[in-house]
Amino acid sequence: MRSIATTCILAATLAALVPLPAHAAKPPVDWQIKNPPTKPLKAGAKLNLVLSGKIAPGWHLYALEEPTGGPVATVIGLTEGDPADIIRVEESKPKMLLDPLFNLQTGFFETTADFILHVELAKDAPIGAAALHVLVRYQSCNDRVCLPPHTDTVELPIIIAK
Amino acid sequence: MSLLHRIDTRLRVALCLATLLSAAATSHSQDAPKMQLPADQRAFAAARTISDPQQRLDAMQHFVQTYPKSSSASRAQGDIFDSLLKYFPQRTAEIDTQARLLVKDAGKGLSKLSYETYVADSLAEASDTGVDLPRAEKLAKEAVAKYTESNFDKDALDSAKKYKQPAPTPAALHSRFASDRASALAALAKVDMDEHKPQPATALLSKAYSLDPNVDEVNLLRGEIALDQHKDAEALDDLERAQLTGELKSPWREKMMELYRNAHNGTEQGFLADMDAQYARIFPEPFTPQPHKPADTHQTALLELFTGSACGPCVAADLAVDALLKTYSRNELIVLAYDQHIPEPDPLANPDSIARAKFYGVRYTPTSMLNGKSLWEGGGSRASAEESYKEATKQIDATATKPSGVQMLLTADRSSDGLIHATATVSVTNPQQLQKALAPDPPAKPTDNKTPAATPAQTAIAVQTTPTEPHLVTNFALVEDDIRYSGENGIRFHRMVVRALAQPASETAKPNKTLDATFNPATISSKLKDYLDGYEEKNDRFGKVKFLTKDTALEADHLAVVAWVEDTNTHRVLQAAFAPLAPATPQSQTATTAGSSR
Repeated sequence: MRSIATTCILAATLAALVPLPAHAAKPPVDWQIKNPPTKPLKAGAKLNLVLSGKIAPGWHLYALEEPTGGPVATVIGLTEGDPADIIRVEESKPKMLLDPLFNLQTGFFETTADFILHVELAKDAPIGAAALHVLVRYQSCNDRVCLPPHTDTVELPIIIAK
Repeated sequence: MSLLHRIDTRLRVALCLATLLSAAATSHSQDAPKMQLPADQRAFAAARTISDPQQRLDAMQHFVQTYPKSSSASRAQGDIFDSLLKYFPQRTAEIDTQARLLVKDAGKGLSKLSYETYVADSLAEASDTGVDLPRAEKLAKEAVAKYTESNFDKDALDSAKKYKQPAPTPAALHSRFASDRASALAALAKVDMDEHKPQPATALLSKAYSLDPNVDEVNLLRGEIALDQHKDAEALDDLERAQLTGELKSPWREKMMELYRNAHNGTEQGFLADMDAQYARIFPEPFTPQPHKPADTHQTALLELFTGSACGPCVAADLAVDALLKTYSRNELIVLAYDQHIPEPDPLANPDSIARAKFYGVRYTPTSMLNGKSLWEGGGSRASAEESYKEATKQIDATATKPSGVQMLLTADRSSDGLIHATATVSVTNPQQLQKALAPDPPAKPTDNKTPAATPAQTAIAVQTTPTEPHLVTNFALVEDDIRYSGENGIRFHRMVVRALAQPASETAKPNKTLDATFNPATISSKLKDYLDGYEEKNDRFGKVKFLTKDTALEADHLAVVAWVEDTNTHRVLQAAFAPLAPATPQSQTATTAGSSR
């Protein structure tokens, strides 16, 4: 008789043939910080980080502001507890077009989107190695499908000096 | 190998597979880290929570001074304008300054005309008889004069060309133009009404209505004029249209109900049914379903639709399903709709509908499965519904002629204590046909260019590369048909919504195996409410949310039981049956239906 262990190995092999579940799907936007700091930063320092999204073909990333009744706007922030604060976020100019799904003029990005994060490090940030965790929450719909709302995290290692 | 041993082995394989998949899911479903919004967004959000008008005004003005370059600055300026009009209509100089600022910041072209319309309408609406009417009249007249179809088309087509986007269809362009121009005409009509000039106002509203009869503001103003002229029947019709095309606010909603009672012997009993009929007139079906010749059905097809009431592209799939339910009998086609919190929270979703999506590995909405195999690649707008419908009829017709070798008889009854009992008698009548039904599909043809490049690459279905022994289970669903709920995507009636699933019972591959399930509607309703209440407070996607409504009461006359037999290895559905439940009475009710297999 086949043992339970053998059966589980067979099941594992079968699992490899099964496409990944929803939450393991590759999100339609790849994020990176274009200009990571190359030198240690002082506590309380101000810096502008460029968060850049590479958007999969056919997808729209919606702008930071959208009309009522339109798509959900993109939201960008830091993770609570990070040793910094974002003062405001500036976006590259979105495309403004009549959206057939909402029958409204919406603002969106295709292919790429750049956001400038105006960041201020905490005045009491501890000296040494640290990290900022930029969170981006966005709705991903195209004209055929909607994905669940998605929050991506972009980690940015920094060094805080005296 | 004995049958029992084979079943035992398959069951263990299935259990291990389920364990592995659920472990993978758990590792990815942890709560997202808590976000700290940027300082400007925190300040804006804090200002919006202030209820005292003067304090809120001060906070918004402080916000735009502190963060003049914030992405929310224009919304804050709009909030200041709205607060001044609503709470301080006597501060006309400030209102006029704010009105000019909003128009100045609106940019050029259609965007400017939209803002002129919004500002003019707000000024004319304020304080019952309007505020700063000369400014309102000037802006509304300018918007009406410049809002021509040629201007609109040029602006929209130029933008599409500039951004290398497909040009909107002429129908889409005209629809948006008609709606926007009707709004501009309504703003000017409101100014005329404030200035006690009903005749030009009526003429403007007639033009607006003929352009687009579904602009709520136009319908409301027509209702106001009809009321002034004591034309109550017209006023009621206009206010009902305003309610269905937007949201009628107090005191007009109360006025509509008063008119309705006056016209119906003092009762509101038929109001919802009348509004449903009015909705059907305002939003007719986008196409006429094809007549269908009853086929020599061998298998009752099961269409499972994963949808969302806030999902724009789900509209095509939802409307196609409506039409399919008219085309086919329940002996030919059964539909189960599983609402998901995609892209936004959906009060029709429940733990069972989400579990079913996990079973299939659903990654997006709409996702549709016909007998366990992918049906449509996504959805689209209302205009795409007919295309989806035609594609489905082809596949359903092809399915119906293929015997599965499985037969099922389903009975369902409601006992006097309200419990619903279902019994399915399942048998494999032809093992050879069953093996054939489970055989792997031939390699898929290359997809045509209609498949969106953006659709995730896999259809998230278990792809079976070699034949395996069947592992059949029978599932039961309690469905509620025709739920009335107007969600964000505008669909008002939701067909065949799954409210609860009963645990699968295995080992059905025996002659005349009988399986039972019991549903308690009162308990299900209560659990749905608890689930939605809990979801509002805590969930892994949205943070705190508020559903538009949370009506979890189950309409007894809209309930039915669906049962189906599926192979858990391939996800193929081999037979299905539908048992409607007769209206609840003190006596027991029984419905019987057979999944048609020969």
